[in-house]
Amino acid sequence: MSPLLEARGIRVDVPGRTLLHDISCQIRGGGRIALLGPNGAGKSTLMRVLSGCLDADAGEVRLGGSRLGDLPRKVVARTLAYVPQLRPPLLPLTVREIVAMGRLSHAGLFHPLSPADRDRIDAALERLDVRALQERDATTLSGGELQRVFLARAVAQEASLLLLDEPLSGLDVRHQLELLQLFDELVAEGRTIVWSVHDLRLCAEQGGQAWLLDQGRLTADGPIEEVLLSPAARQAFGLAIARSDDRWSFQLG
Amino acid sequence: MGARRTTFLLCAVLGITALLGLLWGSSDLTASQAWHALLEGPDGRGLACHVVWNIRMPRLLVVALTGAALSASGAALQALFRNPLADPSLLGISSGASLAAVAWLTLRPEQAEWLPVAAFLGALGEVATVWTLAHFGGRPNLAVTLLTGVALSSLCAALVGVALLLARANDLSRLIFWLSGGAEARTWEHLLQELGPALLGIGMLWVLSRWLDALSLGEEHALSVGVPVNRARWLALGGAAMATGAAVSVCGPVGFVGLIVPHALRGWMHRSSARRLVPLSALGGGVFLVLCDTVARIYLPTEIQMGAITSFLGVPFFLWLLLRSRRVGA
Repeated sequence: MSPLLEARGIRVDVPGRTLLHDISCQIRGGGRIALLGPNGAGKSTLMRVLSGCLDADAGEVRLGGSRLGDLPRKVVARTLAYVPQLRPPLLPLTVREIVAMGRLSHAGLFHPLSPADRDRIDAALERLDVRALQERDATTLSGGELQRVFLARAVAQEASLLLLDEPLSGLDVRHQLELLQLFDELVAEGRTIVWSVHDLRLCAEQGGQAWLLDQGRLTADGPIEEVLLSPAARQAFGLAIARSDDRWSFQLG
Repeated sequence: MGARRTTFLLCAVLGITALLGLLWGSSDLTASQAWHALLEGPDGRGLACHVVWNIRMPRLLVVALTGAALSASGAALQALFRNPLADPSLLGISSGASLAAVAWLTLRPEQAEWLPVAAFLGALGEVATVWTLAHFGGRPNLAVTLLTGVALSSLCAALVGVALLLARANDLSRLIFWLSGGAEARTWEHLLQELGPALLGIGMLWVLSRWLDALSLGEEHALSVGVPVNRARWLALGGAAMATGAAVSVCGPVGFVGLIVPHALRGWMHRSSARRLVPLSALGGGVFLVLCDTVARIYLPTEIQMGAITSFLGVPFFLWLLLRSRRVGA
């Protein structure tokens, strides 16, 4: 069976610099994959390539066995939901209008939202705790609130694969924990989550798989504990990473 | 205020303004004579019927349609460019349409029926150039997009000047009057000429409005929810160019309507989804331009072009928006 998403030999160049070097990776259905790496390692660039928002200079991405670029975006959106790094909207859309966009690939341009679509929008608003904000102008929300709105949009999309670029950024501790709980629920429903994250301790406690990016190269992948304890992680972060009795320690050097 | 109440209110104001525009004018007709002529229908005889049904009515409809086309285009362009200051005239689309129209009127004055096509192609060419230049070498920012539009607008204005120099003497006054943006002496033929492309353009923008909403959040969000971004952009630019081109081909470049009306409606309704804003802006644009034309026609000592009135209102409004955005940015 072909993997859900597969990247082969991805290279991305910008003038004077290569952002990603020959990255190959596979996502099989279910579970979660943490995308780790220091600032500037290429995490967001890889997310953008995997979601089809950025064309690689070399290599290809396949979704369910087909080339991502050959599939209509509507078909891609039913399988893959991507939430880029937070950028506030410039025009005053309401929270509900943004979450409702998650149903666009199901309802289509000419069809109004069905009652079933509306139920899914309500459920997504509820799951991300933004139902009370649904009539609010999104330009007036805080960063954390807005992050939850975009995540609710991705949940409403009902895609089997969620690519989330720093989904915890801007969230207070309660909402971070609630989001991680939601990840568990989504994984239990059979969805796959790829998320980039900077909080290594939090990420280690969550378990699952991890990919480690260092200067545009995929230097380790596997169970998160193995990745964090690998020499590649020490090299990438410049940190001594250790674990004793389920407690993680991160020290400079 | 909700969309339904706003629609009702705009329809009521449009109805009242249209009636005022039909009953009052610069000819010696009294309001009562005009009212009777209106009731008599288009087949009635006499001067009053001629004035009401062959002069005022087509002018009113042309003006309303022009306002609708420009406002709906403005609302759509603001979402598309992710720029609350986008407008067919600020981005130079009207100038592109004007240049093509002037060139056509100069080169082929005997084939005026093709004017909307020429204006549409001019508008589309201009907007595609702005789009390409603004995206050249990376992600465009708002200032680059607007400035590119302003620069191209100036270039088109200069080329219009050259076209005027080359125009024959007997075409010159007609061209200059047309360029100042007005609806005087517009007939049923003008209306028919404008109607198809304007309604098609507005309709396209309305159909595309859900994609436009997603695009207003940025390209990556739009792709993620399944919007074929490039096709959506080209269709929206085509719709805006068609509506603007149709409006400009009949009334000349009338500025700022596409900026003022969507903004006023956003402020009024406290929301801006293109799905609501595009049709409401079309309605509001009709109301606004009919009001401007009525004021230009009746209440000013000499009949000045409505394009001048929209600019008198639009320039301070634009400056106010700029100052406000600076304050918010600070």
